[in-house]
Amino acid sequence: MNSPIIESISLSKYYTGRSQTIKAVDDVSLSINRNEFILIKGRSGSGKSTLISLLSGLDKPTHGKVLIGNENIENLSNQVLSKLLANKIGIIFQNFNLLPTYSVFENIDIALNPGSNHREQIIMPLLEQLELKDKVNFLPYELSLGQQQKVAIARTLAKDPSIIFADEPTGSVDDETAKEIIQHLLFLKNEKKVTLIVTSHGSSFDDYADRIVFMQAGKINSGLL
Amino acid sequence: MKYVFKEFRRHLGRTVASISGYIIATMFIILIITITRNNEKDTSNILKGTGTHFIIYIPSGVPYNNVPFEAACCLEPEFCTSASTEKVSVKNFKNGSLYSDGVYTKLLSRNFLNQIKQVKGVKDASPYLLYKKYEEKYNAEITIGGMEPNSIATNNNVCAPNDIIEGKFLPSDTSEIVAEEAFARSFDLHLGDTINYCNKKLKLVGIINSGVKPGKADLYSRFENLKYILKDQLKLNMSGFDLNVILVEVEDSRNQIEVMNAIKLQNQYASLSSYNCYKPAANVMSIIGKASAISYGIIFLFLIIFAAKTQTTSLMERLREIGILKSLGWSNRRLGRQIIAGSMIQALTGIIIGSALAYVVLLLLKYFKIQLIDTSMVSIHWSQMFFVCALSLAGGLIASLFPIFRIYKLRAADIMKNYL
Repeated sequence: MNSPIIESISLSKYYTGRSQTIKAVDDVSLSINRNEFILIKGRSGSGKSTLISLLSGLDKPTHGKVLIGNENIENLSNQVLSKLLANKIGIIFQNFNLLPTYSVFENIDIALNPGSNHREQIIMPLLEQLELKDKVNFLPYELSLGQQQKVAIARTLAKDPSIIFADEPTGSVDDETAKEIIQHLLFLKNEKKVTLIVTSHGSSFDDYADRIVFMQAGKINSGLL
Repeated sequence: MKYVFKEFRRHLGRTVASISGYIIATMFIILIITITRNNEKDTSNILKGTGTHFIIYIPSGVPYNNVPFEAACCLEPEFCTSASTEKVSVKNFKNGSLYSDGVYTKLLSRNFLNQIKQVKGVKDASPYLLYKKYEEKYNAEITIGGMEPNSIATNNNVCAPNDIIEGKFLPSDTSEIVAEEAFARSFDLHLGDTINYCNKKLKLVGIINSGVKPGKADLYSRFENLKYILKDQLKLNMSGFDLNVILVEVEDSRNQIEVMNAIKLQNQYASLSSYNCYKPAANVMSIIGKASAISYGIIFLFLIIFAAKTQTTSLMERLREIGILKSLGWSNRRLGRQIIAGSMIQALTGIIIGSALAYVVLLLLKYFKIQLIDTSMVSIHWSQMFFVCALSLAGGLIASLFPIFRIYKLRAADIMKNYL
């Protein structure tokens, strides 16, 4: 039996406003197996991005816990959690989160460990694979949205992670580029045995996911493919 | 480090502004400290010497059977002070008597004078012979003081060469004398006139206005000359008992009270007379010292606030990037190191340039002899400059702690949610 690589137990995230408490994620329990492709679907504001932040350790839950490889990430020191994010977890954001004053090469370079050798040998093949080799010295604003998302993907791939969280990876790009991105992610799942956790409000990933989870008002409704 | 310098280049305007802040702060702090220290030093030198003098004598009425007196003053006043073979009271200005501060005094020993010189904080102690006698010709009790002219204690307690308004100061001839201006005017005396005193004819060669001094007299002579003038009145040559007043100058007005207490402790019957000018001087110096310490503190505080503001502003501008870097696996420690390195490099660059500029300004002030305030020329003290540099660097370091604390507290998702 395949053991879960990520597990959330009664996971909740509340935001207290002036007049009310918003339950962005409410009592979510979820198990994700190694090399599984799980698609989290839901309308805007349903809590998908917050769930991704909690599962990846970027945010702290109000209640509940997240286990990565049986380790409660809340108990990890900043140093260990950072190591996990640097080596094992890759995150692709909907708005790419590229550093605007850094070139394409530098945006990928900063994701590598400070002690990594052969940085160019890691980065350049990735750029070639994503058809960005000629844009290596470009700044993000000089690229199209699709190209910027590809740089964000290259930055994640450069770390060679075993888990990838992708928050609406095709949300800002055209259909053609979306297809390319989907193919890249599938390649990672099939060839590199990466675990994929992807959020989407559309249906472009529906045919490829092993499991679909629906979110509504911070809760998981149902889901099985 | 590569990304620290890259960051500087990427945000060149912000880097230049930050370094400029350090340049201006360092330069002004060095200039302010140098000028205020110079001013403080000059003021202190003036105030330190203000009112730092007093006189010591022992009134003749105190008991004789005290041990300290044996070495300090003569036990047998008749024998010590009267040169006459007849029984003449020495407590009588008609016959002439040792006197100070309006009272008859005992004859003091050189031994006592040497003890006073050894007291900690005493800069100078000088012997003084002060005698008062009624002179029939003038129908007045006339005082005469004999002093050692080259002593700072004499100059501040009795009179100084620059107090002379006519003629010369303390001639070496035993028949020549100097008179106080008030005395000379009262008896219509002029340079070259002869004054009869203790059956001696003394020629007036100088008129002096010594101002208000504790050892003031009507006539002045050198110490040894007065001993000669009074040789028929006083028995002064016996085993070192040849003075009745000790003139004292203290090193620092702030220590005068301690010096006076120490002397009082040595000889409780000694009378110490001062015009207490040292008290306001000591108070002013104490105020200046405290004000300077407070101003340095405020300047340092300003530096830290300025540096912290610069670092925090820089952090706020970079917060989005920091959130991204955290999500990519940059640890708080790695980010903290980057911030400290960036802050220290900027601070160090600013400090070096600021110090160099301050040095050039100080050199120019010296070269063109520009006095910003009415004190001596500013002098450059390397120790002060190094102190300011160390202070600025420490300020830079302390300032970088504020953004680091913030980074440690924030989660990547919080930053990205709020600042993206």
